Amino acid sequence: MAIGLGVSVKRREDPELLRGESKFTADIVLPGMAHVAILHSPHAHAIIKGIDTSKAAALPGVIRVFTGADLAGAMMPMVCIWKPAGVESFFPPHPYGLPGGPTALATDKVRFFGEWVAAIVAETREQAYAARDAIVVDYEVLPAVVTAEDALKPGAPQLHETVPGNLCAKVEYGDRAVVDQAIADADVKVHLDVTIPRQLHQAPETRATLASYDPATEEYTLWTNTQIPHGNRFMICNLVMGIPYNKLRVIVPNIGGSYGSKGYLYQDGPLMLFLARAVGRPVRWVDTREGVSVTTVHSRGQQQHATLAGTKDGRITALKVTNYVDLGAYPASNGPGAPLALTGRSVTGAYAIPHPFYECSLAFANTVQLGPARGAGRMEAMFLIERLIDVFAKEVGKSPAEIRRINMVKPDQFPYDNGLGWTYDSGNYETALDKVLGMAGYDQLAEKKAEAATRGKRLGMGIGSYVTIGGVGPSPRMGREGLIGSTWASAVVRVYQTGDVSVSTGSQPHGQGQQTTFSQIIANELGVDIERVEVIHSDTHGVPYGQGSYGSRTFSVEGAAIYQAAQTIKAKAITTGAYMLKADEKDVVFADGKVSLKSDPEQSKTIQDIASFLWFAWDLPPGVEPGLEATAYFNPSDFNFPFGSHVATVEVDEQTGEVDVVAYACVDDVGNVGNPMIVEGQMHGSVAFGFGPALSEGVKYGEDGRLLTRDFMTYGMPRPSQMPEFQLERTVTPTPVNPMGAKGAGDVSQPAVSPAIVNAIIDALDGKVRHLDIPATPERIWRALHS
Amino acid sequence: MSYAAPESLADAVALLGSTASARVLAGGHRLLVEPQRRSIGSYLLVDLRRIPSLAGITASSDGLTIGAMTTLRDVARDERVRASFGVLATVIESIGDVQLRNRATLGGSLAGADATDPIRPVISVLGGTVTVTGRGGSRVVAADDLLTGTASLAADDIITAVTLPTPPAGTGAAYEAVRNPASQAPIAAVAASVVAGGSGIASGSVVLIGVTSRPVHLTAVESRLATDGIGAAAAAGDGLEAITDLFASADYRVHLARVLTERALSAALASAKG
Repeated sequence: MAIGLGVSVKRREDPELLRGESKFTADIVLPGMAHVAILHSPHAHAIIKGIDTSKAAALPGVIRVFTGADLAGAMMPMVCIWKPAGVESFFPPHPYGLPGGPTALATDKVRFFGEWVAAIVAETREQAYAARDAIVVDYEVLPAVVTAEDALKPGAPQLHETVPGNLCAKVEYGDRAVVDQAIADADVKVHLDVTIPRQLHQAPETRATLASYDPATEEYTLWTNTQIPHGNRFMICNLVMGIPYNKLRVIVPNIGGSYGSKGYLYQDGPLMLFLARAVGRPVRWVDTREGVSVTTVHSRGQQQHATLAGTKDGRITALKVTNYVDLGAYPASNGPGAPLALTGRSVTGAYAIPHPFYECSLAFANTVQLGPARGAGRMEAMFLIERLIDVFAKEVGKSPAEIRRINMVKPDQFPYDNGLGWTYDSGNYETALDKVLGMAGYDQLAEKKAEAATRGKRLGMGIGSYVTIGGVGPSPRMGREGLIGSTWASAVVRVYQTGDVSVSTGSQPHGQGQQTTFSQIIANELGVDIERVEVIHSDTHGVPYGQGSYGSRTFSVEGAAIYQAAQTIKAKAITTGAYMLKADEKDVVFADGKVSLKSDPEQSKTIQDIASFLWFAWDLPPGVEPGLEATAYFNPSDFNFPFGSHVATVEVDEQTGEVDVVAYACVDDVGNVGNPMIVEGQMHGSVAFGFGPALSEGVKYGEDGRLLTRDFMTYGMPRPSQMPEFQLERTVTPTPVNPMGAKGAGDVSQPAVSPAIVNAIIDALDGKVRHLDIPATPERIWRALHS
Repeated sequence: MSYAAPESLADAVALLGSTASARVLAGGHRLLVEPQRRSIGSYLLVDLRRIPSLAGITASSDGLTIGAMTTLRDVARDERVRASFGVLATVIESIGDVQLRNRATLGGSLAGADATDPIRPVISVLGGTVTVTGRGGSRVVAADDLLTGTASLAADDIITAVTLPTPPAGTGAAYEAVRNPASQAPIAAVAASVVAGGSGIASGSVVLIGVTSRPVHLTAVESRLATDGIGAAAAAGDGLEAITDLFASADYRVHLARVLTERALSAALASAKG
């Protein structure tokens, strides 16, 4: 019998990766290929008075140097396809009236440190970079502003003529007056001001793009490591370059990690296509580590002010959050999405809060574009609510676990409308909490503290509970949020006459293991050995329009489309199999890859027999067409809502402020799973990804807007040596919103990590410190203890 | 870039003197990061790997001599190093990862050391000496003089060996650090060696790195060891011109100087009595 769902099949994609044989964009070499280097702005805000490229152009190997002036008329600005719904909003301009992004190369002004100013095409990469350093730009430096709150102050430096006061939009969810009244009436109120710093994206593979143009056919081809090849094709052709949609093919080689950093339209796609045509040769650009830091989207970055109100016995009655977020100097393709929907509608966390309210002001500032990272928006929301819960617990004199139990949404409340726009699908929040408390030994906290004290350490335990939206998403709903696009799933499943199966999917793998899990869906539904299933993706030719992979959607949304296509195949197989067996359809059954007579199971036709029969097509059932294939689209009825609770145990060195996370326990619930090992890997990765922002990551800008943290010597990435062995368990609460009962798993548990660790540190300090912002660095802890 | 792999020390010295752009290649790590800054283009790399007798550890009655091309991993795993100079093994094992330590060399670490390099202060408090060969022949320099800048290396000097004197009975050494999470370089670290005497410490050597722009001997602490013992650590912050940078503020660094000095002295004394 074929191995199907729920089994930890080894990842089919791993052997070539482990052997080092996989091809990434930077590995691809085309005949006659030239290399591109990019000149970045050294100023956060400046007028470009002139660019002298003459020295650079004369250097050995230089083919041509391009500036913004060379692109005039050939290319529109990038676009943002997320326009905050229901409110007036202001953006940089775009000729189509869409929210505009940056131009591929700056023209008259630069607005952030790192903005692209010139592109050099040369015979070798070294020559291109040497020429880059020979370009002389005359800048008139302007004052810069690097936070949302500062950007919105009167008199702040102004970025765009089309954006008065740097205010992109102000959005509100909930009823302000009702919430204000509920807070005024409450016996207990706690307030927190929280700054979530920006986080750098540092996937192991930098962004990279290779472009070619064939003048004979006027066809462009783009190889690039994007999460959204089809979206790139559409935006580049129709919204940026104005070339026919059918003249661009986008191919995605292997991707060396993304975590949300490559799910956009960046300037390099259209720019490299333009350059390839202009110089008549294929061109390749591979970013540097510093380039990643200064132009790949940053994430997080919120200035939150929140009040939580409730009763003396620990029931929460109201939550009010005021948030300020800077989108960068220009909006990324989906820039507003994380701070608005993903933070704003999620900020009630796992709790039934009768009166929630969220308001968010989006600003432009002299910073890198803001975009999602794993745990996008929800990490910021969970950090805030989980910190508020602990502060509230202390205020009313109850344990953090008890306050969570009192206020968590109860199993009989589903579907639960959280009051800010999400309808939670299903859950057993307290079950997960109780289970993780047991794993962590939370009831032995006092003994653990006493034991650590004998070693001169302060021990603490902290809880991070979460509900984090996944399974993006229902297209009408995304439209109502402001997405100018759609998020359904697509799949084509073909059963060949040989019995082999191909699956063409709209998702775009970058580490999710979908080659394996999608094969498992087919194995489960059609009874085919997974080795006989190929998964086709990553090329806009030959694959139906696909939305890509992001938003914890691969298995629960794109997988559901494959599941649906398999059902259509099964129905045709039953019709045909019954015909072959000379039986009525109601007298046969499809199981284990065979159609067999209910009365005599020995009488059967395998799916290969049936596919072959339909291929010959010499004798078809009435009304049945040749071939055995199906196309399916899946537009989920709603999002899904994974949940769980984590417990961190830390030891703090009170003298130095150093933190050692000595144990980390998780109970996560992502509904039904396709491959438990892959899900465990995702959960492990999410937790590891959470350690960075909790303890060491955080973008720093200088007063002048220069980005100070732009390599691994200055930016504190998390390290395995900081991490204990994670205890990973799951509960299983299926979702009703897709036929497999699966919820998103890619980036859903990361948001629990920062609050769990910070709550643990604060517990360790035994009431000496009320709140710590992240990253909870040794100096920050020491300062809090001694202030 | 050009490359040479001479088979004698004399040839290597001559090559280094032949052009201002010549650079020694040992483990290669510092050179590895330089191409990104595109400063390496015109270098002549002089690889020391074919010169016999630069690698290996030999014991004599005076102590242990470690060839400059001995990898950090071989130093840290050597039983004699672990027995007599355990602090050096511990510090080395805090650097990079196994792959890096398998290539990086002790001589290269010393030659390319920056202000927060952790090996140099440890060798300094252990009373180590560095043997150097240059155009004028061979000479021996106290590691401490290199650390404090009293002595320096010329561009065509090659470190050939490090000698660690056999510690007298009743001595111990320790290293304590708080590290910057990005580069892993210490934002403050203290290397200390002490000679136990009477009920406490008879004498000792204490070096602080990371807090000030250059490594410094904590002379105020050293001078009080005989009278105040570990309590001398209270003077660790005296007169320091501490730096503030992306990773830590000056006042936190000064605080760490005191805490880490006390810890290093305690650990060194425990080891001395051990």
